[in-house]
Amino acid sequence: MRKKIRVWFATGICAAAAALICAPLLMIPSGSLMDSVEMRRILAPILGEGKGFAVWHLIPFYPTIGHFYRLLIESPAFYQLFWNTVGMTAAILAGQLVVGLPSAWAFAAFRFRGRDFLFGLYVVLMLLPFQVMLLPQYIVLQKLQLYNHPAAVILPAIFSTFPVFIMYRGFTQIEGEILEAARLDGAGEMQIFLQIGLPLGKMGIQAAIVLSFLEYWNLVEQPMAFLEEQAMWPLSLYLPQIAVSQAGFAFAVAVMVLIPALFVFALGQDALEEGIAYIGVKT
Amino acid sequence: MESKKKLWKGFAVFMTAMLIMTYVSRIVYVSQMPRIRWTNPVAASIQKKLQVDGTVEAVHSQAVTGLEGLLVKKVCVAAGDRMEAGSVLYEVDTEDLQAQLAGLNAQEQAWQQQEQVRRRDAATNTTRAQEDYDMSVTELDRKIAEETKKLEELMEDLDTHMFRIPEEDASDEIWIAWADERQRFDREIAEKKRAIEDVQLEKEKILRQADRDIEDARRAQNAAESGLDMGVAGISQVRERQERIAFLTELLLEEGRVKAKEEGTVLEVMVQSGMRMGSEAVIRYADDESGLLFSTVITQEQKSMLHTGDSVRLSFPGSSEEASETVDSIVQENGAYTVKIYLDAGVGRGRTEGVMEVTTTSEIYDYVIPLKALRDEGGKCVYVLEEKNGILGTEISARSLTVRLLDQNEDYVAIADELLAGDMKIVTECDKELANGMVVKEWGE
Repeated sequence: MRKKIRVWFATGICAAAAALICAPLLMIPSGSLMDSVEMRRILAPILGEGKGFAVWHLIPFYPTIGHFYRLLIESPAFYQLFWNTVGMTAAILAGQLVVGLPSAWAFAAFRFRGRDFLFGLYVVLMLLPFQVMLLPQYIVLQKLQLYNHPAAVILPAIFSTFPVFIMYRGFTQIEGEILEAARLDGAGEMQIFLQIGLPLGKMGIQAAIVLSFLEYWNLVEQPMAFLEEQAMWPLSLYLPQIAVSQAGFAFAVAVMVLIPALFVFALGQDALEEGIAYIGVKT
Repeated sequence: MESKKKLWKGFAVFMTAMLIMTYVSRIVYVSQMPRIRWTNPVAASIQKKLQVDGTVEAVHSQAVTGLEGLLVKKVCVAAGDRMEAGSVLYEVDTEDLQAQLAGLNAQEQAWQQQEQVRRRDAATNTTRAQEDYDMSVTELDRKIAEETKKLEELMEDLDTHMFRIPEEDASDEIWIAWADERQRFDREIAEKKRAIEDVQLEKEKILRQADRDIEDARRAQNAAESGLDMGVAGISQVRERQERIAFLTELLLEEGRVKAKEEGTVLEVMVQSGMRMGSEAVIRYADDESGLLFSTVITQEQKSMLHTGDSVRLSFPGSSEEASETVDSIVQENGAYTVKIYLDAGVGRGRTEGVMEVTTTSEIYDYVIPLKALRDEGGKCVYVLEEKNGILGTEISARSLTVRLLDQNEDYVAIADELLAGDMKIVTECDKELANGMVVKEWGE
């Protein structure tokens, strides 16, 4: 009986915590359908126009699709930034596969001099926060005349060490005997990589892709630092352009930004869990 | 695995929808964008063309006065028409004319009959006065003759009495009786003489009165015969009636057609069919001897383009005639200016309206733009195009620029160069209302 009470108590605490965590997520769809007047009345205390606390309505009194109409029909800037983000993310992911995949395979499949040092360097680079790398990256990009160019965001991201680490962890799950047997059977290294490494390390690759997507889809600091022209910005910089008085519109933008991330999350959920497990192994 | 496929399909549909909506939103965005045409400012001079309508009229115009009381049947001329001596100006209604003539004739006839009666009465009065005079003379002469006869008898009786003088020794009584008798005679003679004198005086008086009556009657008769008794007004009235009868008779013979007496150009017709005329002018015309005057009114702003002595071009609507004339005077009247141009001989003949044109050319200004590019938004301003970098890339936006005007005409305006550059693109046309910073697109062909 006491055990049952403990379970109920724990469940209640978890449910309350979950509700608290999910509350902002629930505000997004309700806010996107909320009339501007109602939104203004609710946010009045936050905007300094009223007293007391802001009380959110999960179900709007005056629901409207006006914000979505304005966003989807009358805001070509949104699409410009959306496709910028799509292009930027796709380029980064493709680059990471081209550059990071062989690197991860090399670390996992070969033993060579300086491997441990090099891998340690990768881990150190991975742990360095962006703010530390900002100035060196800025100087390098200036020298390469890539400042204020999409490549200023894409190139550093392509050479990110985090996906290499994730994919490396995926490749290390392949038994060494399998690779040795293949070599004994006369398979070349490229053949082994393509026919054994990639299929067996698929989950690690997918995890790296999903995690990278989620990271670069919401990229804020790098474009803000390296891209001056708004026309090159990703979607993540669109929200700060929207005034607080247009909160409903901002919620609609948030909904649209969320959709691709949800798709990718749903498609790569299994791999993501495994990738997170790899990180757990790492840590 | 199946759910993954559905997710992939959903993701593909989402991305496709986003792609389609990208185009839709672009189309909507562009369709709401103002379309503009632009031009660069150019260095040029401003040509000002003053074109004003005016009237052409004779310096000294003549008038055809109306035939008072007559009904107009048809007007045969219009303003601007050329008329020759003898040409028909208008026709009066002959039936109305005949009716009026009949009325006047009846009046004349009645008057003449009345006049005959009056003359006859005057003659009768004269005759009667003469008869009265004659009768008075006869009567009074008879009375005088009677009194004279009585006096003579008394004188004879006195003489007889004087012969019957008493003897010297007659008694006093006899003497007294004789003397009394003589005194009686003397008294009666004296009375008779006075009576004769009285009758003569009365005769003079009566004859004088009768003479006056005769004179009055004769004067009245003479006046009646001569018509002087009607007075000046009466005579004038009769004369007018007779003249009108004569005129109307003549007009009737012409079948009611009123003709021009001299040649000239009709300036104005103030009569129309069906109108009964008054005594005022019905047609105004310029004879060929008098010159023509073009006059018009210009504003103070237009006055700056025109000065006395300037050469102007005159044209006349409805004709290809054009002439170069000189401004003779510009007079300020009630805040406006009246321009007068005395036309050369033969110019504007037969015209009532004209158009004056004069063109002036200014100095060369550095920045001249079409007038339609100039906007009034609390002050004179133009919109210049600028490239603007935004989320959608490089777009063209319109920026409002306040300008100072130097000169302008109906099509172009010269503006000061404080803020302008020759390569600036100035918006000349826009299909929507512009606002500062608004993104625009160029008008396609």
